[in-house]
Amino acid sequence: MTRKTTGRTRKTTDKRTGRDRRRASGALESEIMAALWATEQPLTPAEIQAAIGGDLAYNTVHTILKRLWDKGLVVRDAQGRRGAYRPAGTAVDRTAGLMRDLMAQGPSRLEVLQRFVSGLDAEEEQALRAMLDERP
Amino acid sequence: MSISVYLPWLCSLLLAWAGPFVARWMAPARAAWSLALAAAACAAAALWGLVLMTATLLGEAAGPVTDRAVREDMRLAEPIPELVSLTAATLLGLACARAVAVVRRHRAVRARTARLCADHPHDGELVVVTSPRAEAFAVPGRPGRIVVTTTMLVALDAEERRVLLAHERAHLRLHHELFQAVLALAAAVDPLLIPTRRTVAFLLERWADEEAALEVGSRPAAARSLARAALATASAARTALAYTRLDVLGRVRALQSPPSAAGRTLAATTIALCLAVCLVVAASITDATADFITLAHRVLPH
Repeated sequence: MTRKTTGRTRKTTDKRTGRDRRRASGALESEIMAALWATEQPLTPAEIQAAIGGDLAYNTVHTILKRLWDKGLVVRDAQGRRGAYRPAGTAVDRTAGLMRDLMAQGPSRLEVLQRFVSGLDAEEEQALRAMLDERP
Repeated sequence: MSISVYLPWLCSLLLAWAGPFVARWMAPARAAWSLALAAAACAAAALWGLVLMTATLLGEAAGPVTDRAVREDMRLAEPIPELVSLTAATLLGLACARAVAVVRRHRAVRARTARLCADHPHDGELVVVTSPRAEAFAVPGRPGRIVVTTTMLVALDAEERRVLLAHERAHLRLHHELFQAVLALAAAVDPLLIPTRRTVAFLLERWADEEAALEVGSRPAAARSLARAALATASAARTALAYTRLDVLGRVRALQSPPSAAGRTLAATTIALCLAVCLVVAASITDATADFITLAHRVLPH
């Protein structure tokens, strides 16, 4: 199941057709998971659709949520609103510890990782803040 | 053998000097490929040169034979001075030790990232970790994973998160870890390549940035995502500021300016330059090897 999904992801993203390409389903799963993790409260499919926005059909969101639920990655919110989902937070404390352990490896070792960003000095920080304020 | 064994080192210096220009004027994918290939060629040739120079020490051990051979044919190349071969032997030992250290370091980090992902009980590309640090990185493997902390996810909006995921996915899809591994080993063997290694590391990030901008369909969004993530990292982990980092501001600015449209001639020149480096290096090791074989024939009885 997963393998199929990743295969599809690759195939689609390899084509460099640009922005109007349909998002691959593996990528969409990650996007929805990221949206769910980014907020404290559970989200309904409609809210998720609004949150990740754009061209995504409600049915697609629903289908992917179902798939994530089948995989055990999300749970339906029991006490809250009907139809809302939140991420299944298993083994959270252990991963936090493992992350600390990883980061304690020190800068030269962490060069092995391709990190999205890795630190800023004061000057750069100021420049980036200025840049973000320019475009609200 | 005298000059040709030193040429790879000279080429490494040239690469270190030219790297920033290549990075500025060429599209990141091409620049990364050119520099990586040239650096790999330099390192391989430098290593082989060290091996050859060290091997002449064995020749020196066969002293009497050498004397006879020298008498028989005086025109043959002089073997290199003993001091030079001893230095080469030392450098060779250091290079091996550093290469082993690189592999160890790599394994240590990979073992930890694997544990981080193994704990993730289900399949799926994204591994979310609850942590007060804002971090995101790709973990190559089968399947490749993207590890992101909750703090990072909260700091970004939906479009910015899409950029982040696309960026890390690009690293995985394009196997940037291989570039990184090759450059790490090259720099371990030939420390003159350390600046080139850093340039390529920067270029790999730029490459993934451009891929992400393409996937999301917006360079401004990619720039914003990067800026926001960098600020989140800075405010979440002030203690971690001191370490060697890749120029985030440079990446943001590159995304804000039009895609690097270096003239074809310039790009072609740069690629030609890197190819020339590879050729010179190849020629030099061939020459050095030929010299060495001649020397060996002279020294060793048949």
